[in-house]
Amino acid sequence: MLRVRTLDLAVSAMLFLLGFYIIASGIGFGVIDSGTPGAGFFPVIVGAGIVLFSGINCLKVLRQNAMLSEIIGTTEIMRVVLTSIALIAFCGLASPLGMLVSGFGLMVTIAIIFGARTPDMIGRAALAAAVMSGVLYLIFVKFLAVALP
Amino acid sequence: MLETWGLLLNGIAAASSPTILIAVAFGAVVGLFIGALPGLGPTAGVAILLPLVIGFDGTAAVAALGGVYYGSQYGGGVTAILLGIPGDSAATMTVIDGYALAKRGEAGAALGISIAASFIGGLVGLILLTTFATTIASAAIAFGPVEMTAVMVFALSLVSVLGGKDPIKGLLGLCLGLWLGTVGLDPIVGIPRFDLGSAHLFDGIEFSILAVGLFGLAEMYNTHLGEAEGENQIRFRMRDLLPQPRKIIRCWRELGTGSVIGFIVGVLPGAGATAATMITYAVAKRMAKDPERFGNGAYEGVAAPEAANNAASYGSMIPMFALGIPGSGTTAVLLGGLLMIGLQPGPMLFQTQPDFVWTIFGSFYIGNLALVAITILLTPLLASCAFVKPGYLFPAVIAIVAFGIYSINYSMFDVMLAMAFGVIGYVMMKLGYPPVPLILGLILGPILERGIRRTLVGTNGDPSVFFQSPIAVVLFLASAVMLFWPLIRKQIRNQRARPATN
Repeated sequence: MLRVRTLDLAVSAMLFLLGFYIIASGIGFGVIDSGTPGAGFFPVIVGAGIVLFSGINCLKVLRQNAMLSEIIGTTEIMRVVLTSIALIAFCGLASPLGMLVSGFGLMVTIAIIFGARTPDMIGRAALAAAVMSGVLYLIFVKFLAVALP
Repeated sequence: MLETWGLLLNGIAAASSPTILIAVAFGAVVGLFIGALPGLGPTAGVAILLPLVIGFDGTAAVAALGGVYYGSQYGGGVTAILLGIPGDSAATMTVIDGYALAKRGEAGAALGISIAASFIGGLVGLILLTTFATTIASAAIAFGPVEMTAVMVFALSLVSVLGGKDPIKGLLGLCLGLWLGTVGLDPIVGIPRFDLGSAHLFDGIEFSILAVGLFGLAEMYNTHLGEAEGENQIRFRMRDLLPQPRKIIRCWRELGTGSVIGFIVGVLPGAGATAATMITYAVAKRMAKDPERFGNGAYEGVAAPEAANNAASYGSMIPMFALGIPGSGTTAVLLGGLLMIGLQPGPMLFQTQPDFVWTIFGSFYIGNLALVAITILLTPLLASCAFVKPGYLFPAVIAIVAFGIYSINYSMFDVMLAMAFGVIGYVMMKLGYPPVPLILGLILGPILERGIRRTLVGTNGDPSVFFQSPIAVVLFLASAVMLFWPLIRKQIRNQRARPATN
């Protein structure tokens, strides 16, 4: 369980710091080069904007308590985390196992994450994933001539 | 004007080639399903399909993406009428009378009206698009680098209307997009910026990776499981889906006003198809002799919003094609698609790539007509797809996204990047950060930066050049008004409220 207000504050604070990093990098690239804007000109302006607006947002969140009661459920957070882990695993396994096999695994895992829990549902999800793997093979390998690992 | 229609006829002939026809049919069918599926809107649909269709030939890719956009406007109405579930927000107004008609046993008639209204609204929108896009583009042809920079500034100022409820978060999203647009080699000096030491980021961040993450993956993460489940499916006869001229003629006024209002609202940046349907429904109800029928199953209540949302989708393409300004989330993604295939939307597009423009416009006409038949044939399937559980649907969508992203640069790093943007998009969604300004910043930022720097290099750093053109000055003033519009509106509201309180 995560409070939206806490997350908003944390994100604003991170963006505030990111803004300073962008300004510092922009100065490093060179803001003015022979009297004309250099590579750092645009990043400095954008970084300043990020610092300004994230600062205002931080103050706004601190001042208002309207979002205090709003929370993000653990199940939802877990869904995002597990889907991301499944995608990372898919990327890691694509080379040794092949993209189609690893894609099949990804689809079954995502099906379980998004609610296929009973053996019957998992079986159907696996069947759908097998069919989808065939469709992906036809589209990407045969039709678009993509060289899959 | 006659020349325009001659070019269009050539475009329709060119769009009748098998490759374009297949792309249009593919996009239209995918769009129909995306429109019918609750949760995934046209923006997410176009974003998800972007990495896949980019493998097609350039014209076919844009024809397919356009098909997804207008196809979803047709599809939204089907589930709205049969299940009372709007597939996307633009179909919300159709639920009111469409579902009431379905419950009364007139589902087929309501669907028939919806299909006919979608076709008429789409046709009116297309005719107006053909007429005005060329006129506006011809007028804008005189724009030089200074004026185009001003146009880009104006486009970025639209963040005030596209930026959702919180203008600060909209501006913050825009700045983040502008920053992401600077990642990679500097376009003038050639030094790497914010590449984190990775060669993968030398060419910058691929637009489709960001779009897929922010719109596609984030939308799926945010779906409440069980939302797509339903029980009471209403029965209808296929025969009733065929257009019935008597009922269509009965709604002629609503079809006409819906199409024109929808188109005008669609052209306005940030207003979108949903606002068009709401305004049109309200106008139709006000104009009706017996307004009490509205809400209880009036054919006019289906005809007006369905005509409006289709006309609006073509209206929103005018600023995109003629000026290179995306007026909505979906056109922002479409604009990114055009840039990905190496085309720069704007007035010059009509001069440098006339074959492309007219073939695309021709494909829109073909797609709009084809959708009448496709929708009638696929209605039973569309109605049942609203019950597909996320557990079966999302794995397939995520797999298409992963394979599509990989195939752009043959890079797993890009898949990881899309995943990261999916998480960022989800967090943004939860915190009320609108994703459209970020996309606007990423697309228009590099163009704006190049424009400003090249112009200033030409004038030895003298910025007064931006204020010597009357067109640029007007556009800068309009941008300032747009940016401060939320503050101005708040002030006006406060002033109005004050006397009332006193």
